[in-house]
Amino acid sequence: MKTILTKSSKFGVVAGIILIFSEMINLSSTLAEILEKLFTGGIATKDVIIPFYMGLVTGLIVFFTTFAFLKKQKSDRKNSFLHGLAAAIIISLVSGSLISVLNIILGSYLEKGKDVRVYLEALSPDVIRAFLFQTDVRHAVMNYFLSTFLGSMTALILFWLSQKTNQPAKTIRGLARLKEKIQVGRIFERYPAVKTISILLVIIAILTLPLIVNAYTISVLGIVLIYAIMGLGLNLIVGLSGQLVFGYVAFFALGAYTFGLLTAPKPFGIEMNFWLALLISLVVAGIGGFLIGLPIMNLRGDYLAIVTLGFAEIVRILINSNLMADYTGGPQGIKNIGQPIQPSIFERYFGKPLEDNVWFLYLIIFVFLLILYAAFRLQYSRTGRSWEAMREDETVAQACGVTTSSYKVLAIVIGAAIAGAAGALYASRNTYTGPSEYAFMVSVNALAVVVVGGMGSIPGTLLGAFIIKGLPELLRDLENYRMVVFGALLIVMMIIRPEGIWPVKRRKLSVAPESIEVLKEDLKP
Amino acid sequence: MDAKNNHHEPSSKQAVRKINWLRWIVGVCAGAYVLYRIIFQIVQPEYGPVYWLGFLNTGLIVGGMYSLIAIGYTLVYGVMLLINFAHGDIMMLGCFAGYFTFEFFNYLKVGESNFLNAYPVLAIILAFIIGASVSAVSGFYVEKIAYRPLRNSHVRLAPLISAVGASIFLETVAQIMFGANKKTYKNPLLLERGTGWNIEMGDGMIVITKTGVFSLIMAIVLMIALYFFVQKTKLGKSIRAVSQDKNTAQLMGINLDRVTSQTFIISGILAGSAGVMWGLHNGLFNHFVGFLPGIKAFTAAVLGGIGNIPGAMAGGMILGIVESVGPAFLGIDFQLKDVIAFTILILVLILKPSGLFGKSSSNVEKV
Repeated sequence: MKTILTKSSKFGVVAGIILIFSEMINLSSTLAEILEKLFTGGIATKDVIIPFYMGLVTGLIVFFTTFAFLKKQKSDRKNSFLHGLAAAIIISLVSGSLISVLNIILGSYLEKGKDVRVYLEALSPDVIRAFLFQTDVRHAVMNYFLSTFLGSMTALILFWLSQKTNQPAKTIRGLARLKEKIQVGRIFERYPAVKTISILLVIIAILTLPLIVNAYTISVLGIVLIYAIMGLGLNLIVGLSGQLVFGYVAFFALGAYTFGLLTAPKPFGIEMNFWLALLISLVVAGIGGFLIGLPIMNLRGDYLAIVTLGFAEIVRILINSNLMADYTGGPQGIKNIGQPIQPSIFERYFGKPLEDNVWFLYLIIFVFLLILYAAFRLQYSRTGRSWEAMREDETVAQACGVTTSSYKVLAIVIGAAIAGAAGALYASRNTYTGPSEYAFMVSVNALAVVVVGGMGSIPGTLLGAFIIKGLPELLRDLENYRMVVFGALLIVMMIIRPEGIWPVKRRKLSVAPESIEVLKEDLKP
Repeated sequence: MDAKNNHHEPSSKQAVRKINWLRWIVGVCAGAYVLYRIIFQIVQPEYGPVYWLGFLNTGLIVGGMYSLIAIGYTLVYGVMLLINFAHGDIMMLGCFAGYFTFEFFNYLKVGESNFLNAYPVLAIILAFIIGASVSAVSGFYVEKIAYRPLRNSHVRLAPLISAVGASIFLETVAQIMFGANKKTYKNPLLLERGTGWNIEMGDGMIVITKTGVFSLIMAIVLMIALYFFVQKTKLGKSIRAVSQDKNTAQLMGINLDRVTSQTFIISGILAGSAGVMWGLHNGLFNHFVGFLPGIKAFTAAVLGGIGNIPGAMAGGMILGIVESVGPAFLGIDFQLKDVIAFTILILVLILKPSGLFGKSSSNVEKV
């Protein structure tokens, strides 16, 4: 009993800290707002948050903590419900009193008319009022205790029910069995035509997409695809060859600035053809990758990470500095970067020329498909296999005849070139490029795309790009918390599922069905 | 030719030759350029000796803080073989804690003046204690949550990516909670920023600020304390044992989990003190304050040979001085002083990956 007491009060403190923390960064009221919109269908346009949803969020946090506690607690079958009840009550009391103390303090500040925003920026008076359930402190404390109590009780009852009926576990097992039964891959293997047809369908769907969606979606799709291109490039470096490069944004910036200098009227006034400029910026980024890759090819993971980070910072500082301001425009950046001219074919087929953004999205899709194809070919080539061998074990790879140093440089060069292409597209799409766009966070985003999707997995990278760049656009309310969630996500992914959401599957040695028969014949004594 | 030798050096002969050749070119070029600048500065001096002493002064002060942070990197690397990417952000938390302590003391009335100016020494000591303990606690929990579950991870990059995650998490949380605008430290009058002693020398004068002297002395005291701590106490002994050989240390009855936690606490204390110093000396800070000092302190740790505590101290000092003298010496814009630090990092890793004071053979394999 005593252990239950201490352990459950520990979990109560954890729940209380989560509650306080999400109140301090104003996360819980944002969540409450989202829930309110979800349930009322976005009709409620009032500025104040309905207290019910505030309590719901609080209850949910306590619910999850209690559930985690009960799941972790493997007590004997006897008295387990009573033990759980005691634990749930303690958790709700501890977390409730912690969050109440914070709100009593904040409430007293609010009554005195003091603005706490000087120190805690997230907590404006409106937000504090929302946290106080739009009433006075006394009622708010009662509400908090009520919601934490209800949350932990619901968790207890649900846990008890699930243990008695064994329901969720059964459902999950059933789903897993269903997944095993379907096995899309086997169908593809058996009927190659199905595979070809489905690929064709996907391509057709992608090609018709820009014509049917609105302008906002087009811009989001553009960004997602550019990040997908970057992710494909970084996937070659991090996922396949196993080198952690943090300064990926350096190559992106190199491509963007090369493209900008070649196509903008100022400072050089070359105003080159789009495709030629794209190619040149790709090559320049590749050369940059070579120059960076050459000295660092014998560095190990963490050193490589910091050195490339240093390179990226050097590039950013140089772009921003007075030294290069004549070429890069310093903090102002390069304006009026050229966009590609639409070929007249479109006009002939569609009657009128496509809108600029639609045409540019097609362009991005074209480049994306090109790079996707290249990435697929690379991954399953001799080079890709060498990279994978190197990632798994460098010494063994060397013993098998892989010249690791040159393969490492090759990976960085190809990845850098792809980033250069992405940078050129990005600059051309915005018709502007400036130093503020190449902060460290871009590298982190690109890394998150690769890690979340699954290191070394190409479909995973695409999924990662949609999650990292697409979801925040859809959940605009959570915009501020994007980086917080990324940070937490990177840690949680590494602990729970280090291989990513869509991990790469190892190819098995496949033998055609008819040759198996032949083999069997051969193996007969 | 020698089978044994090949076993120890797995990299192929060709690659080694290529790298040596590269090392020579880079080393000769860098050396020639530095020599040229020395001659240039002697023949055609742009700055008088007073300026150089002034640069040295700034360099020593910043270098002391870099050293404190660099020790944290080195200690953690020794124990876990991991670059604690969140270390700069742990320093940032210490900086914030010190800021809030000073604000609180400024708000607290004692008689006619406030606590901050009535008992300045006590206020400063308390601010350091609070800053150091906040950093120590956050370091402890970062290790417990983000690094410990990954100690035996089969994905090689997992701990490092997790460290990046922790860094981003701490940084953005601080940004949302405390706001992105820059804040100013409220120093007690005893340690007011900008004031100090003016020493006239020839054609100019050097300003030796009070905060600067204080930070440097504080840094040196902390470093000496740490050195004796690591050398003389039982915990220091166990930290050294773990960094020499994890398995054997465990066989000798050292609790790896506990030593790791304690290492993070110690490095947190140093980083937190550095954060409070940073705030006292520089005044302006925000949530991003830990990023650059973090990377530079890592550079310092590499410069001194990672895993080597006196090396990290010396590396921090050297880096601070080079960084503040560098722009004038090389005749480039002062905007570019960060570039110098990163260039040093890259040059050290190319020319002597084991660092200036590291053992040459054993550490190269780590790199």
